Amino acid sequence: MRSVITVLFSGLKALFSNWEMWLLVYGVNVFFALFVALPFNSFFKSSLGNSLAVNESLNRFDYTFISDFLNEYGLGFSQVLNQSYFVLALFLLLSVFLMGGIIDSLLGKRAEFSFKAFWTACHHHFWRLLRLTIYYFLFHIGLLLIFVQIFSIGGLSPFELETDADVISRVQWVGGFYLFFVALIMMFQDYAKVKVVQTDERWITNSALAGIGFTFRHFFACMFLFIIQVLFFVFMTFVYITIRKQFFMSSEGTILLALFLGQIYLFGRMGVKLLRLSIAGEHIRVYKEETSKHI
Amino acid sequence: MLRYIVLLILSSSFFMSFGQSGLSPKIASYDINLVLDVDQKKVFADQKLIWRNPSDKEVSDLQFHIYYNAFKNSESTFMKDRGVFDGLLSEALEEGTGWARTDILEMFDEAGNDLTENMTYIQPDDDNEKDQTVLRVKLENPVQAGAIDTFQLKWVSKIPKTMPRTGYNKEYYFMVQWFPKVGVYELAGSRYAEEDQWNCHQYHSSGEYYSDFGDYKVSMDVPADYIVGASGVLKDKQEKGARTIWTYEVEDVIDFAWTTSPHYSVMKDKWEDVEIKLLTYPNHEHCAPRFFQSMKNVLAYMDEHVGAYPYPTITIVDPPIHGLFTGGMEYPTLISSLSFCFFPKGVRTPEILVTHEFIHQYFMQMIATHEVEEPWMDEGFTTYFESRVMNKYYGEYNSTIDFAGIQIGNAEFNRIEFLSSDNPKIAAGNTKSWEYKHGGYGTIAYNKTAMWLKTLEGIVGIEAMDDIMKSYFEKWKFQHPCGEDFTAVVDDVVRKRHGDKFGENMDWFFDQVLYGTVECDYAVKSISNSKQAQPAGFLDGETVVALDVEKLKPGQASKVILHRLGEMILPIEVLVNFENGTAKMEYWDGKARSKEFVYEGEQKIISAIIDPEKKIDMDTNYLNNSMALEPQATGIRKYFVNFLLAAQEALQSITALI
Ligand SMILES: [Zn+2]
Repeated sequence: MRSVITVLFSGLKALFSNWEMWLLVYGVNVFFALFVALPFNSFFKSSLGNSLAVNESLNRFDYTFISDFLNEYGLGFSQVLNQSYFVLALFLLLSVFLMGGIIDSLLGKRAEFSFKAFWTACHHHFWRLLRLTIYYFLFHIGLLLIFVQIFSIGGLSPFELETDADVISRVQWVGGFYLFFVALIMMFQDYAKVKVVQTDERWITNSALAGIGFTFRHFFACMFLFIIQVLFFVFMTFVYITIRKQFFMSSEGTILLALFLGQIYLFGRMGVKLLRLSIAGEHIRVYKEETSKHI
Repeated sequence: MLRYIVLLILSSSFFMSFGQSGLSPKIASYDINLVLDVDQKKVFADQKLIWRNPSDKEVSDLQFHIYYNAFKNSESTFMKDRGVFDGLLSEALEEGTGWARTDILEMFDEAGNDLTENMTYIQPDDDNEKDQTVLRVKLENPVQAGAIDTFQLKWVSKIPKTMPRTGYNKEYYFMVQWFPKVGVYELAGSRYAEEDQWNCHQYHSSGEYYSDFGDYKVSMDVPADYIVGASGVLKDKQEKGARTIWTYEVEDVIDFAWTTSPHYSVMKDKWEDVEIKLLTYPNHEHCAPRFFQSMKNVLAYMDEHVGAYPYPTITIVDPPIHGLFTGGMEYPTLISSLSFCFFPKGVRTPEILVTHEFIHQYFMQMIATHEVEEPWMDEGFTTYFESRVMNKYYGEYNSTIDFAGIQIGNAEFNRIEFLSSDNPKIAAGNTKSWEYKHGGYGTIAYNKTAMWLKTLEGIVGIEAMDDIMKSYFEKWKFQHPCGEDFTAVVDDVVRKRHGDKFGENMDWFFDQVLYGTVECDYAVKSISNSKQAQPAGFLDGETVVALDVEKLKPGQASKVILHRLGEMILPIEVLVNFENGTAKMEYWDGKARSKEFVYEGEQKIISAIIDPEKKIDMDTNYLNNSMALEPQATGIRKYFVNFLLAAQEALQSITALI
């Protein structure tokens, strides 16, 4: 237990000592989001910027406004959305690219964060991490298909069900197990990523298996650390939603506040995501040190 | 022995009262004794029909609806309309349990003549000989003008499994359109009849109701553990070994529905003298307050705004999940809603269904319009009042959904449903239910009608609208009005309240919204505040008067230009706002393709709004109804920030895969 707490804190320490990287990840997110949001903004401005309906809709969720907009300008809007798929694909690739540098930096090989080393590591590990991402993407799809099948056992037709409580209990049981397996795959993936960067071998199979092996050998510690991070995420989201529910974006001030809170929340989410990798790296490192001490 | 004598007196007094006092003309009354066989899924019935000839001529035949024969084979008009392989139909039909039928084993008239051999199926709508949903019985002794005759039928029905609206599934039974029901004998001059005639349509997949008023006494013999709910009041319950006989009675209604299941929980509440009964399943009991409260709301609202609900009971059936096919239906004094045990409070489906189906007690039940020929008269009116009731009790902008930050009002949801449909111009509002061959039944008969009624309310005012609805109810309750009867009431009330402000009559309105397919869209095209100079140039032939730039003044000629983009013409209000904070309301008859309002003076126009109070619900686009001189910066920023945050969150979420 003590070593798990140690891992958690050293993971946090590693994350904060690489704050430049955290900022970089955030900056990339903002940059790509602006690529989607700015064309929307100019389209929105030119199509109905002078309509009083725009300001009238400030004080509530205005279904009429949104629907009239989609009915009248849906075509232009969908063109803007279509462009964003391209942005999304680019963002995914860039995120995989950054992963090598992120893990390399978090592994704490250097005393200070270095952008030069960061970019070198990004470049060095890109193809292997891309392969790993694709494999895990396929795992996720496979898992989803299996659970859809399990969920459908006994039929999904409401006419076959005795009561609607059956649906609830099915969602609870199947959903619960599904989330457990999703968490498991995510854990495998985190530790595999660290192993891929750490071992630096051409073929990723050994590293990926080593990641799975490590997770199984230290299952409870891994799960505990994973749950801690999920709780971080849930807590942040809860606080964010609670605060956001307190006000409408009905004035310049509240709009600015919503933007600010949103950025803090997103920055925090990115931190939690990085923390997962940081903790996985620390976990492997601490375990290694302990075993070498015994030897 | 005494008990039997009392029963005899009671039952004979029930039919002695027939055709005499009461709220309705009591043309067709029924006394039915049935046995439900839950093993064979069959109903065995003895049915007495007491029919009064409303005509001043004798009638030599009777026509009956035999609704269950719609499920007899794949060739019935119902099945062809709906498509055998469409959704829930296909499963039950594939396994064979969906098919159903009603066989009339024998029929006698009052004199004892056997009419069984005189029965033929007819197809008044489409000549589809495979359709057996209308039965014509040639009488041995015609029913004399104004006379009351009694007919005795014995019949058996195979109940369908999970067919639209009716049938059984597991141990749940929802029995509607279940018995041979006599059609309506229309008199020349009433509705669209040019001569005395039967109006008895085949069973189509859309539209059900059109029947005469009468009294019903129905005794249902079911297994002892089954609980029965039905139209009207429970008059008697007799336990006989493994069976129980439930007897329900109801007066002055056009139909009778019943339901049974061994799993029902029966819960009760009251609004004034009306008993509200809820039949639900045990795991839905926690939803009861939602059903009861919404029922009390709608009872109070309709009582205040339309007229009194005269029946002593109203029963809400909340079907189990395997009875989904029967949810959201309306029958006299019995309606079905729908709920799931996990429905959040902000998803108001149960409340909306209770409200909507109850309003049908007025529009189709008491005002017994023809749902098959003029579906707009019951579904449209009901949808219009549904929005009024829901918006009053749950809020204008959250009466349909108020959940997870999403808020949608009932009327706005109705409007968008219509405007977002594939083709809002697919059919005129007065289309018959079975003539919506390629869609539009829901969006035109329900949504569009509700929209133009709301638009009418906007044009004539809410007081006049309430007056219209109350007058319509008072004049036509317990009768069969047609569309023209309603528009005549509108003409009368509008003339009484507004004189000739809207012309001689309201035909100009109904021709567009009801009988036409045109759409309404008015837009502010531009606002300009051009500088205007003193006159210059060759004004009197030879001398040139120079342009005096010093005398140019802003706002000297301010102008708003409006466009009529749609084909519909409605009177329009336009609010023009000036820089000094003053405003002017302008009125436009809306006829020309464009219209300008020009203002001479110092003041600049800063904005113009067409229909500022949103009275014209028919307007397809509210966004172009207004224009400001300056861009609406705050609003634009709000949507930008929302979109940016959504994009950022989407990007961040997708990294979960990496
Ligand atoms: Zn309805």
